[in-house]
Amino acid sequence: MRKICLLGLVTLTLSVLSACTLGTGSDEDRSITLYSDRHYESDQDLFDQFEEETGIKVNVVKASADELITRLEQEGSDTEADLLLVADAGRLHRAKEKELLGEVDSTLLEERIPAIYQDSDDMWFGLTKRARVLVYHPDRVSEEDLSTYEALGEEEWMNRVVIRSSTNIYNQSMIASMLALHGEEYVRNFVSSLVDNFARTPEGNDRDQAKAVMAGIGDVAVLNTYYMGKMAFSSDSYEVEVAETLRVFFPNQETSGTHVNVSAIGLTAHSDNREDAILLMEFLASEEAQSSFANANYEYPVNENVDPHPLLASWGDFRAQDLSLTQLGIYANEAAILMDEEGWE
Amino acid sequence: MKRFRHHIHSFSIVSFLVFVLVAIIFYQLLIGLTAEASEAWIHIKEHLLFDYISNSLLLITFTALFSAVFGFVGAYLVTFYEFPFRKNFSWMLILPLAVPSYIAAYIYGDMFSYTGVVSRFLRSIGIASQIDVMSLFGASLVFAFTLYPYVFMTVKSSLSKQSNELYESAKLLKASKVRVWTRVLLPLTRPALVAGTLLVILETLNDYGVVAYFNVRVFSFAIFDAWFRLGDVLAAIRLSGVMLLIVFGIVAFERFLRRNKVYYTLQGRKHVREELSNKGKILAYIALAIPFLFGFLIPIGYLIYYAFVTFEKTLNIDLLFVTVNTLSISVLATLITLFVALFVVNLDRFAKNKVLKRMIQFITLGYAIPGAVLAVLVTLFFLGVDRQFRWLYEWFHTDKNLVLSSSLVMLAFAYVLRFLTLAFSNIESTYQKIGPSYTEASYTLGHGKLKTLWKVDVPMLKEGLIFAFVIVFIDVVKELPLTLILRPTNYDTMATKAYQYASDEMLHEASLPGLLLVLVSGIMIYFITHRKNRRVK
Amino acid sequence: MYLEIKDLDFSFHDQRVLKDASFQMDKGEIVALLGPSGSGKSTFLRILSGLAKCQEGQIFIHEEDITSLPPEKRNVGMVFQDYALFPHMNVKDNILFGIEHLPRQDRYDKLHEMLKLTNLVDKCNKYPHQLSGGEKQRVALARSLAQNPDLLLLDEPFSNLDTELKAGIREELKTIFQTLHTTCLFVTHDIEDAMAIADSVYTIQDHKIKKVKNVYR
Repeated sequence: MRKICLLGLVTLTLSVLSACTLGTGSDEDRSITLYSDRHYESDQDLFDQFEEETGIKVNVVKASADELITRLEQEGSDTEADLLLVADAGRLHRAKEKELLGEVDSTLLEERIPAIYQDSDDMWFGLTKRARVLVYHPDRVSEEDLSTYEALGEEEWMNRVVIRSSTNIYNQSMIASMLALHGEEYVRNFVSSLVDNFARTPEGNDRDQAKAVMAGIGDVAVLNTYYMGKMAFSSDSYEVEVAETLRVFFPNQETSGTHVNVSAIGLTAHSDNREDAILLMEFLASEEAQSSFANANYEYPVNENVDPHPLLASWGDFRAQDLSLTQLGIYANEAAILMDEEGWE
Repeated sequence: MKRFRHHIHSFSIVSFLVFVLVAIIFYQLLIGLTAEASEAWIHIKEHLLFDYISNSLLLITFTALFSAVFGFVGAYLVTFYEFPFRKNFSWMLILPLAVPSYIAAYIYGDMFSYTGVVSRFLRSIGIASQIDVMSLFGASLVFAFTLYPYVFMTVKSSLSKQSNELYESAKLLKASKVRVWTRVLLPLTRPALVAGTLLVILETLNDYGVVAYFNVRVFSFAIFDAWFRLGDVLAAIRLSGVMLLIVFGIVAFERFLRRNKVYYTLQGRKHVREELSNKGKILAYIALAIPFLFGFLIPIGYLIYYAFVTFEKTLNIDLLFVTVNTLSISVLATLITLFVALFVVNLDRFAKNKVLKRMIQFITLGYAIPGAVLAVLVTLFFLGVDRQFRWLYEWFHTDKNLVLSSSLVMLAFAYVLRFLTLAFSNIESTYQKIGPSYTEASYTLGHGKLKTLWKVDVPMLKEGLIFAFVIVFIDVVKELPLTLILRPTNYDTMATKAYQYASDEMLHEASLPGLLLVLVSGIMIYFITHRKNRRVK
Repeated sequence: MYLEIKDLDFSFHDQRVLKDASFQMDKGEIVALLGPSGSGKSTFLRILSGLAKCQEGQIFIHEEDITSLPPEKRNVGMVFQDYALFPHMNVKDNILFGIEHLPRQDRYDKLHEMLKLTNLVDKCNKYPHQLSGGEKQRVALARSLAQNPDLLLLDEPFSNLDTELKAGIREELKTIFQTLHTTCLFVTHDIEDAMAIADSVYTIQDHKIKKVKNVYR
């Protein structure tokens, strides 16, 4: 009796433990491994299409962006990953600084992606764009009241501004972009005056800020464009109501331009399948794939020849910051520290 | 020298092995602490550390207070009074343990958000303002509602073991109800109350899901933040060091309070229960309904509703794999934990040597290490091991270089370290009920340690082992921070799946995996509370 | 000398129990160790059985030094005060427990011998909770005697029994021991119990084991 139990336990142990180590290796002829923080079914359709066209299978490892980068760092030269795809240029810069990425020389990528949305050293390439915009309730705020991010620091916006925590990378990159454009003193003033105008201590995610405006807790919120998209097509009717009631405003049109960030892809430094991996990068930046890829998350395609989702188009064209997104990474740490120092929680 | 040989047997070998592993983990911590302070750390120390400490302390104070009240009141009513449905409440009040705190956080966060049920209702009756639940205070309520069962169980067990006669004597001596409470009841229950509350505090400090979602700046949040957002492992380790100091301080304090162990009469008499007046019944029902409602009914109602709404999106093959993954790793980890705990308890039972006792105490410190910290240290440990064994892997011609640290071994290992003490204390108390004579009789009849363990101890421990299994199993299934960090690539448990949906802001979609989780745990709780047991719980 | 103890030192929780104690027994002798509760007599039994370790000293049985042997390696049987019958096994299995290493036929022969000796033949399928106090004691006895112990220890064998039964039980025990020529040491706080069965009576005085008197029959 005891021997049977022992045997059973050993078998169970071995099978469970090995199930995993066996699962992740692939013996396919040609395959590449993509570390991605995206979770959309439509992505898998694109990868299937890619496999059909090239015969290369795409293994996707999904986790949160920070997890992926940390994992990549720990794995070092032993990693199986060929590509890293995460949101926010600041993160890719971090990966680059940790020597996790490799240089890519591809004419197709240079053609398809505008220079400011690529790394200056060709280590990562933006695939989709999102803008950080102002969202307001038309009953309480009219379009004329809004102008720039900086204006939100002025007295008339006291207790009316809602925005998420400084620990979130979207805010960090936004502040980083301002540091790159205007320098420390300017930004410090901006942040401290903005913090004074918070309607509440930051809590919740971007969508919660929009909901807070609906509820009257604040009058204007700062969030990424794709959240408005998500809410507009949400299965929750109240989120749809929020998306339909609130309006989108692109700030800084007359000045430095609205802050834009990207979801970007990079080749890993220790990839064993460089050429195949680059093929996928080029594919995802191509007109063929960009529409589906960007629309999955209501983002703007980075390829200028591709039209954005109708909802995004309805908001009109806008001027983006004329800033190489490499700068977002360079100023990231300074931004984080500055926000902490000025009391932005 | 011959005497030393006695000490080498399977119990001590296993215990020593565990001791060495735990010691290595702590050693990693020390190394990290003595490395040079990074810029990120200096920044944290200056601006954020004080907030982390004060928020953490505030959080656990509120949580401890609420849980103690819910747990104690529940246990008291259910033990001393008779009213309809009393028996049902006896076990239903444990059910909130099946709901992970972070799931309750997502639920209440959503319900009280602008588009949530509560706000909509308030608007429909004309109240425009919103109740803001995503604060430190809200978090402590969420923790209290889902963790109070620990206090409930320990206090109930303690109360039922004490014989009625104590209270009857006090009453005969003309003590007023208040005096009976303060001079007899509370002091005798104090150890149980403290032990249960300590469990609640440790679980609260360990949590990452709730505090991340509610944006409460406490230590576990800080550790994740430093490690992942700032990319600074060393800062994460330093934060872990500070956090461990606080945790150990609390644990030491509890051990100090418990120094005069009160031995309960093992033969508890059946309690003669007082009937409640109608007014009393109403008050009792209110007092019992509140924790049950907020801790279990509302969450499961929400989960069922939204699971239905979203199941087309979420019910797929992937979820099946996730369920299988969760169940298999949880069963495995729990079995290993029980096995190891059994060995360590047996070493402890007969060990008189102070050194051995200290070693065992050290091992049982594992549960005080919060998940995030343990994850950091275990990761470093296994990476080191993998690098050492590189020659072995090459010999086997595997392509993989990171065999151990990319497999479930790391995760299973961490689970065992973390939950060993839970199993240990349950098994230890069961052994105390049985006493040493049976084991000793078996030795005098010529059977060695292992044979005795299997043939004599285990059959007698059966009920205690089953209980320990369920308690550890539920904790493993619910576990989040460790699992998030240590799982192999593309490996999800029900807990991580729910977390992933929630952090992608797809809260409703999180309901199906969340519901499965709660059901699995809930069924296990139902199972143990309804076993026909011959031994008093 | 059959059983010999030399220079035994034992302390428990910083309380000295025995110092430089010596003791001897002949084969087949029945010895009673007398004394009030807490005087260390039960501890002495535990040392002899191997369940407790003495700090200094040696124990010899048949001239063989068994001091460093664990209880399962010594052939010393013990009947506990609360009998410690395995509740999940019936009488038969309890008795068989100590002789599992014997070949099948020998095992069952021994079982029947013990059952007859202790008058438990018709109870062999019952479980401990179905037995009376006296019956439980007999099972515990049969269990330990089944393995032909070099030495049998009994911890307060009479304290859990009703006084009316005692006289009968005393006689029973004496008969059993004499039939088997068991070398036997039991502790008790009742001098009459001691005198009724034992060949010699000892007590612990000044941390040493001293003979009180030889019992004359």
